[in-house]
Amino acid sequence: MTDSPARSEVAAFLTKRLTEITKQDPSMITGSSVFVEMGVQSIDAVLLCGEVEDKFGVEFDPASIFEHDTLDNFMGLIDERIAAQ
Amino acid sequence: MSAAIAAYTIVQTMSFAVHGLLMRPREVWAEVGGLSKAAETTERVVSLYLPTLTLGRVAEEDVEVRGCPFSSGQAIILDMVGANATLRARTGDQSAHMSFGAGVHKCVGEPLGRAFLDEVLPRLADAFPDLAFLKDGVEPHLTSILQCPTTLPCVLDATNRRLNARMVEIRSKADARAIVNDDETWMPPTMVEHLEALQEKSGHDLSTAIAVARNAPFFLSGPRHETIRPMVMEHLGGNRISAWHAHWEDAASAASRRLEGRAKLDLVADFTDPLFKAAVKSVLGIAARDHERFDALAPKIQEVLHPWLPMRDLLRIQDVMADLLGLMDLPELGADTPLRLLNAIRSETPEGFDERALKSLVLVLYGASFNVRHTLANVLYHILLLLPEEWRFVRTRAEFEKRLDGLIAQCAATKYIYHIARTPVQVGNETLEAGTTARLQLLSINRHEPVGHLAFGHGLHRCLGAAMSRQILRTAIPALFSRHPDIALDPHRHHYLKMSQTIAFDLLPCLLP
Ligand code: HEM
Ligand code: HEM
Repeated sequence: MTDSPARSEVAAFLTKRLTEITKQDPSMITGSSVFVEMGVQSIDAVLLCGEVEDKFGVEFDPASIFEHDTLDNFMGLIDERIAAQ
Repeated sequence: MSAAIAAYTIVQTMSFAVHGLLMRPREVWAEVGGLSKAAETTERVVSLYLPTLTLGRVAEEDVEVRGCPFSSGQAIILDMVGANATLRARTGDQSAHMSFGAGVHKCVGEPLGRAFLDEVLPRLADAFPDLAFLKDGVEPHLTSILQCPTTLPCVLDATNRRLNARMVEIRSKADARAIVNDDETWMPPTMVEHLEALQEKSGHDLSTAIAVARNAPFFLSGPRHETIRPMVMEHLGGNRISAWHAHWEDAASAASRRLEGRAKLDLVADFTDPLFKAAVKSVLGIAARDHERFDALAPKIQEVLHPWLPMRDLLRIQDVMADLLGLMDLPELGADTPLRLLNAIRSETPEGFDERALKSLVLVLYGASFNVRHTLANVLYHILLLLPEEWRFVRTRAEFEKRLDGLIAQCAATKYIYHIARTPVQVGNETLEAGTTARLQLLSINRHEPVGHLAFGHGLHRCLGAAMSRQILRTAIPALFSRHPDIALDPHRHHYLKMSQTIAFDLLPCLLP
């Protein structure tokens, strides 16, 4: 199975931004990293959601980040949104 | 095939009945429980919640029905709901009905229909005593021959639930009361800090939103909150606010009078909305340069600021706030009786408050006041769903006032109260981290006996408009029903606004005979 390019772009962007936000080593952020344990706050969620919307045209609700515990899990929602476009 | 369609009437009756029963207080649902009373309950349910609106018949020969001649082949429409109501009134038996039809085409599924309801309703009520219906999620289905809801979103129980890693939903009344009473452990959402950080990191100018949040009591704690609360309470508290009584009486009777001569009306556009504006704006001292534009924009600030608001929504709401503040004039000082809030606080402006801050405060109060408009409509709907003989209490002032608090508890528009844990805290059997949001789910919390309800919150952040709201409801409701004692719902034509924080109608059609 191959990822659609948009998906991998979004995933790479999120990983990069999460590294910046949480000031962690890039190698520490993986698909199974748990948002809360990374120290992601609601304000980060609002920022991320705005940036993903501006950059990729994919809309989602900031609260939805915390309804998915891990990045992989959350990418499931992004997949749905991309598919719906 | 046609029998299967006919049998589906069971499902429709069932969902219509559950809807009707859950719109009522919890005691009514409790009474449905227990298999021993099942047969009684079924008769009453089949009488009251019949989805079949009409039956068609064709006259087989020339006949006369109640003095009305019908010729052979002519179609007759029987009003089934009306027939049941007439039967109940005539016999005095609250379970009287002809819901299964009559004559040779009488329902063949009658025993099965009864047996099904006998079995299912009591078991459902016993299994889920705390079942609570998310009223604005209903999807009504209405045709010329059928009425019933097609969705009935509910919460099954009153136990707390984790919503996500940062938020729990509190449904237990005891836990909710403990939270609103404990200001050491809990605080309101820190919106000002959130917006300031967001402004810094995003580069967007959020100064208007910040200025408004700085004057919104529900986002404040500490000295600024301690300054604002008594300042507002002095004028909107129980004692002073009664000075507006005559004003509300006038507004209520003007709004009721305007309905005269109308056969069809929408209680929202024709009653609750104009009444709300007339009743609240002068109290707060809102003098707009252009009232029409102000009124068109104002409903948009009901969408309260909260820390999960996406940036695009935040910027949109901020634009509306800026426009509204720009439209607000300071009301003329002078012969001001009773004293309007904005004028009152202008003359005693505390340190740290300029004109814009006071206007922001009053705008925030106006935004919060929409709750009174929505709660009024919710209470009216609740009363109109009762049987005519049940809502006689509205016409007796003393009787009505005794029931008002219970009605508010059940019909209040606000869905949630939010509090944030300052420190790690034990709630029920779960330990919550500092920073966790407790979302108090008022529907379940207030479904218990009305004593100690949280429709207006409680404690340090209790609603500042509670006294005003209660008085407006207390005047408006009897005014409507005493002038229009025969007003009735135009069933299932109502429509709810889709609002995440508020239960509110945007359409509540009624008929005046
Ligand atoms: C609470 C549930 C039900 C209600 C309120 C109800 C109501 C009715 C009504 C009002 C009629 C028309 C009677 C007339 O024209 O005079 C009818 C007819 C009929 N019903 Fe029901 N019904 C229910 C359940 C069922 C079930 C479970 C079945 C099937 C097993 C069923 C089968 C039929 C059939 C076949 C007719 C047509 C009878 C005829 O035209 O001779 N019904 N029902
Ligand atoms: C029936 C109508 C109303 C209902 C059901 C209602 C409900 C509530 C609730 C549940 C709270 C508590 C929030 C919390 O604890 O965080 C609250 C707070 C508040 N309400 Fe109302 N409200 C109504 C009308 C009004 C009106 C007319 C005003 C305008 C004056 C108003 C102004 C406020 C303010 C300023 C607060 C925050 C108080 C504080 O944090 O110190 N409300 N309301």
